[in-house]
Amino acid sequence: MDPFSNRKKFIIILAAAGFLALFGKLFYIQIIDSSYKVSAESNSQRIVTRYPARGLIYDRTGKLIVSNQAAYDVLVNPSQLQSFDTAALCKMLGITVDAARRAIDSAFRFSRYQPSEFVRQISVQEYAVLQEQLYKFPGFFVQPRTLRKYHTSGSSHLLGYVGEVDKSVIKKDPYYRMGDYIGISGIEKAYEEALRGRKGQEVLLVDVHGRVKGSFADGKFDRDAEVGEDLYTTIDLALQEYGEKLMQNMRGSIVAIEPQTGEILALVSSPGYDPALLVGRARAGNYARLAKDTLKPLFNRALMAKYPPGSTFKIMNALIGLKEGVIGTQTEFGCNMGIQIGGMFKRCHSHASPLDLRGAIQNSCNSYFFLTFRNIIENRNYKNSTEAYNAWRRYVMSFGFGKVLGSDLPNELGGFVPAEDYYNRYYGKNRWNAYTIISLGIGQGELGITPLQMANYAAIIANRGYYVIPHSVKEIENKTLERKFRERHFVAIDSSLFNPIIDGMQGAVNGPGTGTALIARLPNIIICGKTGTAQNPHGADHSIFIAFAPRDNPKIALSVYVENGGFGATYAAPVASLIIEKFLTDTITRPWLEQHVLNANLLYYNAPKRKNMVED
Amino acid sequence: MPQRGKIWSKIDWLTAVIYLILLIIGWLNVYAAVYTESHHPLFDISTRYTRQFLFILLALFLAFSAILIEVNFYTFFAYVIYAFGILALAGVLVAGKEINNARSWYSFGWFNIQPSEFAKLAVCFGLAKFYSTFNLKTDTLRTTLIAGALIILPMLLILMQPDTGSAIVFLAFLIPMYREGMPPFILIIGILAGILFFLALILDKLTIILLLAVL
Repeated sequence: MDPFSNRKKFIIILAAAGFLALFGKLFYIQIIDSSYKVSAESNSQRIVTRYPARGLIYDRTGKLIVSNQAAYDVLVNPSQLQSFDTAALCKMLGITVDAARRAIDSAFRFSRYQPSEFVRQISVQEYAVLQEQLYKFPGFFVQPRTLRKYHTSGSSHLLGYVGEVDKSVIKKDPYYRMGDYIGISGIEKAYEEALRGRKGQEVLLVDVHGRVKGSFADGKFDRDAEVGEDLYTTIDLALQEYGEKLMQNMRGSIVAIEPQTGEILALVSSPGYDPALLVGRARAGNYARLAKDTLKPLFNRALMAKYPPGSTFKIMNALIGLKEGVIGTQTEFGCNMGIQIGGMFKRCHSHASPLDLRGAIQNSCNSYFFLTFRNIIENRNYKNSTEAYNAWRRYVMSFGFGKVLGSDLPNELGGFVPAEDYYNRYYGKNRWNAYTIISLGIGQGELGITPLQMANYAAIIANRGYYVIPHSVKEIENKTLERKFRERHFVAIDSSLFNPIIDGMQGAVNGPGTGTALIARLPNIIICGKTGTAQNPHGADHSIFIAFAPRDNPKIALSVYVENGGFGATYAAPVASLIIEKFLTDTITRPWLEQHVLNANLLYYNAPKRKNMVED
Repeated sequence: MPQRGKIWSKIDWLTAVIYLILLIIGWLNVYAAVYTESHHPLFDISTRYTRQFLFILLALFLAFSAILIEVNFYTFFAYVIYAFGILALAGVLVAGKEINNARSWYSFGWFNIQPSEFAKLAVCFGLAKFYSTFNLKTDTLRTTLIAGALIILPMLLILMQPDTGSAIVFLAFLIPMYREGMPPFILIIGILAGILFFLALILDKLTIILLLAVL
């Protein structure tokens, strides 16, 4: 007989144990564990999103800048399709029969029972026509969405635009789903969380084919969408639009700030574009066209362009010189079409000589500020030139230069104020001195300043020594303004030292006698300003002007840059003067000056670089 | 046909019925898995369930044929069948079609054949024939080693394809070997190795090392 016959029993026991384990697991999955039940249920409910309208955007006077318009996505549910008049539908929606066929094919591929997009964002007008005829096209239906509507043809860099979220955002923020809209730049991006509101939802019961069977749990889990919060910006839309009009034939920027509050009154980057171009179905095509434009209309010059400050920086050096005690208000330097300094002859333009500090600013004397800068860097109170330079740099940075100011607008750049290392690397440690970097005395050389920083600089002078971080939003519905936009930042210069400089700026615009910006003079308002000319390697110099007005209790401080515009007085000063007049009096009394600006031809034309150009 | 009546009475009907039930369940599952809402004709060679149905018919036909063949045929040709199985496995390494980085299939136009499936049957024959050897002492190490070689040879060939999953299936032959007298410690080692394998999937390395140390 078989000696091993009882081994058969052991094998049976082994197999039985194995099956017992399997049954145990099956029991666990079916009866105890609920995770499969949950995923099965999600198969029987469909969550339909209710989209909120985005918050509205107003200007500082309560004028509406951005609102919403209805748009309609046409969806198709393949399972309900019947043969229909393709040509009629395509004509109504403005698409080709081919495109319609492709859309239906891809809808079939996605799902027979779940709706897919057929045509997106048709206008109210198209929808009105379609709605009457929709009964002829079973399987098609319409879902309302909202798009932005702009009540101005500019302000695009400031406002930014809205577009569909991309995958990287969805990954980072679970709030967003494919097809949601999000602010992509400007205010739309900065205040996205306030503007977007909150999506609501509707939970529907569906069968295994995704056919709607009614509301789930009598709508217990439905939630209405919450409309986005409205924004009241600091922008003066009339001023903004006027600035855009003035800049229409120039490249450059205007940034105007209310000095006491840091509120941005206008922020123009020219050339701009019509924000309506980036709405709805046309966006993709228009965006590509704008991105390819050689004038770079998408580039926000006001926040991102870095220019040397030119002669406007003489004010900075005057303040530092006074603070360090290396010049006084009565200090006079002689200048005879230039001076001999550090073995070089540095040229200047024709003006009276000698000049005191006020006169030097009024006439923008190069020699005066070369010497002032030399005195700052060769100051015996410091161990060496490098130490003195570092002290100088600290003063400069306290004005918000060389770092991001931290405004509420995205993509703001910090500019460049070289650190000690920069020169050490270039010349070698202790192998440079005041004469090596003397061009900083008149704001040329390695400095990179953005127009926003420049306007903030004008605001600091207007405030006699402090600034509030520039910002573009005054009030958000139901929310107080961030604290950082209410704080005053004091610069490292005593406020008493500003008045002699302001005297010089008043003189530059109003005289008596000669001044670099007499063209900007207004009869009844004292404008204080300083011209500048930024040398640049790409052609004619950039025309710069910073100013504030009125002299006492200033209401507006601004910077104007006109690329390749020549001297500061040529274009930038007239633009600034017109902006100030428009803002303070709401009238233009000098049509000839306005014409001069409007007739500029600087958008495409770039005059060749002038040789032996002298700072104004 | 003297044994005509005997054939049907000798069939293990329970196993046969279980086999048929499994066939039907399997076929229904294939049908459900590829079902789409849109209507498809029941008989369409392009659908998986139709092809599965054809294979079922073919399998039943082969099963009947197998039953009808004289028993001595199997006894006589057992080692020959085993040899064919091994040859097929060796051949697929040379002439097989590479699918998913493994040479496991012979390609014959519209259908493919995986020789490791036939090798399972071949090993059954080989092993059965070997254990039926007259006067074989089944509980010796020598017998176990020879029987083991019969299993390990196809396993090695399949591992060369490489198709580890199919190779591991051959370890199931340890169970009939145990039944026929293989020393039990081999089976116990095998079971322990299996347990360790599953623990390795669930626990981390350190825990397992500690557990082994404690044991």
